[in-house]
Amino acid sequence: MVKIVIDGHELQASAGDMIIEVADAADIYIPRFCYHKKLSIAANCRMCLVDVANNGKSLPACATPVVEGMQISTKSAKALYSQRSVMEFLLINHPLDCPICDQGGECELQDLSMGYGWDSSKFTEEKRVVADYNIGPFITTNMTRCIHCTRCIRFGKEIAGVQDLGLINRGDDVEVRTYVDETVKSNLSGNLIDICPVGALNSKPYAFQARSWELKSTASIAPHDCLGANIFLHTREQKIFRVVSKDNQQVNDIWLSDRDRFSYLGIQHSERLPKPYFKESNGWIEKNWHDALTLTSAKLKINIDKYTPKQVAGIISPNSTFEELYLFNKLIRALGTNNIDHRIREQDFSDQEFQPLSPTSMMSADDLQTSDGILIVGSNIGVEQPLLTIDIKSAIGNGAKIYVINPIDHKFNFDIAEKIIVNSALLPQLLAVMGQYDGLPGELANSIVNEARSIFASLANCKKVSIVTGAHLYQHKHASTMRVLLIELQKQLSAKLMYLTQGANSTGAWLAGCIPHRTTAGEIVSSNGLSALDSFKENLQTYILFGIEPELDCLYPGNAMNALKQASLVIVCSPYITEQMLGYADIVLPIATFAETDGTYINLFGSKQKTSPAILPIYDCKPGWEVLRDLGNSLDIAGMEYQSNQEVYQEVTDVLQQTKYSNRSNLNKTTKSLKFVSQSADLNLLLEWPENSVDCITRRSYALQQANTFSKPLAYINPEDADRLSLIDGEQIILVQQVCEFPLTLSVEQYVPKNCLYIPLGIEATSNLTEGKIEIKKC
Amino acid sequence: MKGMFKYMLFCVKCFTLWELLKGLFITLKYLFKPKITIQYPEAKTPISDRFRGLLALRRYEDGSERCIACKLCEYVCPARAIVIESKQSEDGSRRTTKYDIDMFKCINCGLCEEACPVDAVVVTPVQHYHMQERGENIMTKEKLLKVGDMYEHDLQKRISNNNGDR
Repeated sequence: MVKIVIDGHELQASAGDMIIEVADAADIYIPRFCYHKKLSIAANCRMCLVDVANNGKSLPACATPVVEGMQISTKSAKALYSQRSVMEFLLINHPLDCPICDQGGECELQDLSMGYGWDSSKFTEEKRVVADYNIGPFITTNMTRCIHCTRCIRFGKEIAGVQDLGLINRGDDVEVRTYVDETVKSNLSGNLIDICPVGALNSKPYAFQARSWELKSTASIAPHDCLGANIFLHTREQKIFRVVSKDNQQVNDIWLSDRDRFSYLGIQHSERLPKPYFKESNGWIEKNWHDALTLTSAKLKINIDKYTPKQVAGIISPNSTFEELYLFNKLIRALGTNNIDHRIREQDFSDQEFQPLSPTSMMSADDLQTSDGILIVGSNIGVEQPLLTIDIKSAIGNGAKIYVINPIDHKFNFDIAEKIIVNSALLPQLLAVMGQYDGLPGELANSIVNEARSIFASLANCKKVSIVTGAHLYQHKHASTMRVLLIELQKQLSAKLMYLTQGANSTGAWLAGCIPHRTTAGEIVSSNGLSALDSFKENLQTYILFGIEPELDCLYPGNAMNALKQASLVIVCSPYITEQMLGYADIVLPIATFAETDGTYINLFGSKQKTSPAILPIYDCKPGWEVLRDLGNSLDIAGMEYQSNQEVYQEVTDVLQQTKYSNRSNLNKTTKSLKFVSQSADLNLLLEWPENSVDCITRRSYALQQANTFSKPLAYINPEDADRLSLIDGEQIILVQQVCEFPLTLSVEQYVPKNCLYIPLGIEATSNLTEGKIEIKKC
Repeated sequence: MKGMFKYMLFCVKCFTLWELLKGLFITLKYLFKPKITIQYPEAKTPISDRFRGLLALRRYEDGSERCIACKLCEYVCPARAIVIESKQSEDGSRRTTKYDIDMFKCINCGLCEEACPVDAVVVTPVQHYHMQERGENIMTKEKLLKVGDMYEHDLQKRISNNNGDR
């Protein structure tokens, strides 16, 4: 520790700290542009010059380490003169277009030139002009305004892991731009808007829409992935204008993914349903809420009487709020059925009895950052949880090694020590090999077995190991086998296990009881209901869907569509209405999106995060919890008389506190009971949701859809398979299944493993895919 | 003696109606002076160059709108009479999609004109205007631009006269 004096305040600082860090901690403001607390130090703007005693020149506070007895003045005549002179230089080429600049009003250059600049400039020559270029659907460029602080360049290198922007040329010709004419490809690129201190990089969808001072800011949560990034919704007169990040060290730090930042564009989409919509003999008609609820409950009662309650299934989106999940659970159970599920993207439920109370990860983001060995199993983490890659990158910065086991060679924005790419059918065997489990069919090549053993040996040498699993695991046909093997592996490595779960509130859904075998707080039900996939396969009579579009959201959308089309009553609660929905639904009730309602989301670390409504529900929509409550009341279900969302939350937390199952913490199925299925000769189907089409809101954000590269109707296969089937890249093919066929364009890619067909879900072209064999036919 | 003289003067003034004559003399003086009464509405009194009347939006000489939707007038307006909505126009420039001034709220303070960086919103010398129906008090962008077009010649003269004061 050293003692220094800044502006007469005696301060303690640890040796090696920069002056600006010590000053920030003591709330002494030093002007800066290039310095950013989350980025490396560049010291190229020189705005933070301060007067250090016994030094001839002023020194940059961001790059000068403190030493014992340092006397610093930030407001002496010399310091102010230096700062003013630097500001004059910075303003030489900066245009005076603040009135049309979107940064105006929240611009660091504007603020600092008021506080630390001269009132006039001696520069009389012509200002320079720099060409703008298109860097994608999220960011506008106005490079004449750039002051070359290089924050964007350092962000690309250090945080996003994709260096798209760089400085070219020298002196007066210096320019920040992409090296070749390309767009910025990182899915964290929206953060450039926040970190640019001037108006050079601004939001494209927000361009010229509003001024910063007229927007009202509401704290909320982005419910598109299981992290639940903290956001501020900026609104004016019942319209959302933009989303900015809210600082939360435990969750998203100061960053946001593009998905969270630009999903708001889908909220006020033209497909929003204005009023309850009913199918009658003479077509679809709108109804008011009172009639709608009475009619819905009457129809539901008739249907239950006619068939049995066992013929009812309720499927809810894992992106719903905790309160909605709880009320949905209460409603469906009161109808006399246990067919309730939120796991629309899973197909193996055989271990559900042995699952813990909820799939919450017993670790924090901090644990991930401090791990020295990270094993990623079956996850495209950069797409599933873009923000967690920042934590992984910081772990790498601390010397961690990353190992990857995936069914496809996903590109990551961080360095990987070793990776094994095998066909998804072989994933369970691979995990078994790692855990030294014997009795395997032995289909893995020797080289892969050796690699797996070497990864295990390297991880065993690490002090703190984290295992991260994702969508390729929970969507897997043998997910339960893999989960058991992972638990074994976790025990052997004394590691921490992180499940990247589906949706924003999977934990909440398990706790609230939106699963067929347990109700709220893990209470076991008398007889297990059907899971989402099974209830679609069973072709029941009544379906109640909440917040999902089964043709795009479910793992085998074709199965869901077949079931819904034959059912006698389909009630859909959805913010949007689509052509396809009109085909299978009988009643559509409009519900509000996350920006229009209050609620709680429980993220993968188990933290409960609350949102509050930023705008009123548009048109005649109602918040989801109100719709469920009113439906419950019109069905005469007891205990549904809630006045507010808070009451629902209070009730469910009370139930949770009294649970006797809170210690249900681990899978205890033995590895002895595992069966390994051999790889078949058929093409193995590998499905993934494009990162910007994960839910109904993101699918309707035009900017996100423009950035979506994977969502094109393409089928990807390995070159060897293409040769075997004599197919060529770019060819039109037809995928044939038992009952349906759908045309796609073929893309031959090296990163797809052999004997694998990789196709995107969540798009129109694949919305008829059913479970079962698939064949490629030439067009 | 002195008191006696004062009393006699008073009596003379009383009997000759002196004060009345004095008053009528002033009337007589004004009878021959030039008249200042004007025949409103046929004739109008002259107004100052700085008179703040009806508001208007101006155009550039090529006919394009001056307003860049910076919303500084909206912010500075003490009566909150101005409502602006904006978006990116087809040529990429920043333009208003809505520019409404509520003339019931407007107090003709002229702060909007002072705030405007491009001399788009201005106060005109027009002081005689009226509305017949509710809703007409909202001056839309089209109306404001029309007013600007009508008085552009006067406004240019006025702005060049006033430039020294601003």
